Amino acid sequence: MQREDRLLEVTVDTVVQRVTDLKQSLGLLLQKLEHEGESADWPDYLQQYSVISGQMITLLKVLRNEKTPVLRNYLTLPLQLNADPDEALLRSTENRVPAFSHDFVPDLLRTKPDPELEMKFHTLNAKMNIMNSDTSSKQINQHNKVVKHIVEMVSSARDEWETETSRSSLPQTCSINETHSLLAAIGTGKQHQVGKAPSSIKTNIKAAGQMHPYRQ
Amino acid sequence: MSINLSVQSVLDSIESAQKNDIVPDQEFVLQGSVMDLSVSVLLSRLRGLCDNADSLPETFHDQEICFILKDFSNPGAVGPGTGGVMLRVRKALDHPELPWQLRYTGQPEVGNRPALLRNCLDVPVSSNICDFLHELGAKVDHEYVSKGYIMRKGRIKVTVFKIFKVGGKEVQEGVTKSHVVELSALTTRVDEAIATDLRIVADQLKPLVNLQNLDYRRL
Repeated sequence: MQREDRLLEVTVDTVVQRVTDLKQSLGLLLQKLEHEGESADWPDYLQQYSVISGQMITLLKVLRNEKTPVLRNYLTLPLQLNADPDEALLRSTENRVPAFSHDFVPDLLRTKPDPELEMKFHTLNAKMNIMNSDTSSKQINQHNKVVKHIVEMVSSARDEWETETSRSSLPQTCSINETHSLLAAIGTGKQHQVGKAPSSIKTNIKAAGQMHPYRQ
Repeated sequence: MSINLSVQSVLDSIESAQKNDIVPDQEFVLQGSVMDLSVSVLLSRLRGLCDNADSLPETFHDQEICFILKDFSNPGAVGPGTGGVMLRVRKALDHPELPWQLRYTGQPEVGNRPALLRNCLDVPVSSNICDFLHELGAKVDHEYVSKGYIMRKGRIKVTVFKIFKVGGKEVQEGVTKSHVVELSALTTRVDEAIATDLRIVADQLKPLVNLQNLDYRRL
């Protein structure tokens, strides 16, 4: 019996931890939506969605684990309601529940979804049953066909692009050897012996000297 | 007296600039070449990348004479690396009214950077600079004529030019069948962020041109 109690405690702790993580990511997403809205780039949003869905999956995994006791077998009974504000409760629920009163408790301990949600769920279920299995399978096939076509288009475009880029690299636009000779020519005058003829330069210097006003 | 004071204050501000490493005496360089046939393609791509895309690239036509000033205080030294200081004199052939330019570039700095980093000083000078260098004992090492285009992208200077040998009268022969492509940016001793910008521009020019940090002394 004591072992079971401890197991339950550990399970609840884990579940609370997972839910807190999930709540944090949801808060981040809401904050992002509010602050950046459409200006944020979509890979960012997708990343946050994938984080959230990952956290949902882990939470479900924890709940479905064989070692996890079946939580719905445990009952929660409100033994005493109190209309007075409770500071500790307010703190532990992040300012959401001011008192353990008849106003909040029925909602908090409810095990069935909202009546509205339940109605919606039922209508959808009914709609699903009404639909002819033939029509639905036809729609699925059509959808698959469209998706397949798109995949083909994308892959053929990629093939085309790849061959095109490999073809465009064929005509040479630059050569490393030419770069080397040019830079050597600039830097040292070597290799191609760029104008390695001092005689022409000497006349150059003289001409420059004669132009100088102080010499005249 | 007042002149002395102002000279002193200029010296002070130069000194403080040097102390605080804000003198733009460094340059980042990436170099490469493009074959003559593809120059027009490169130019149109550069026009799209650089500032003032609506106007044609500015042209230049320079003559560059390289002098070597030997280190006379150490006459016994021989072998590579003791070749003395190389000083380059540039004059604009298409704008004879402009001052000439004396340019010093140092050895490339050691280290792994996105672009080659070297010391660099440019001084505008009068046309008798060659005489002056001659009197100092500098010898002409080589000279060439460069002709091409210059563009700007923010702080980055982009030049595409062809090198010609200086032959007889007006007869100029290209060294190779390619143009030199050079990206450079002046910077200070502490600011190395511009090197990444240089690399980004260079990557956008691939595979048309492959710009690298090449050290000509190792070629």
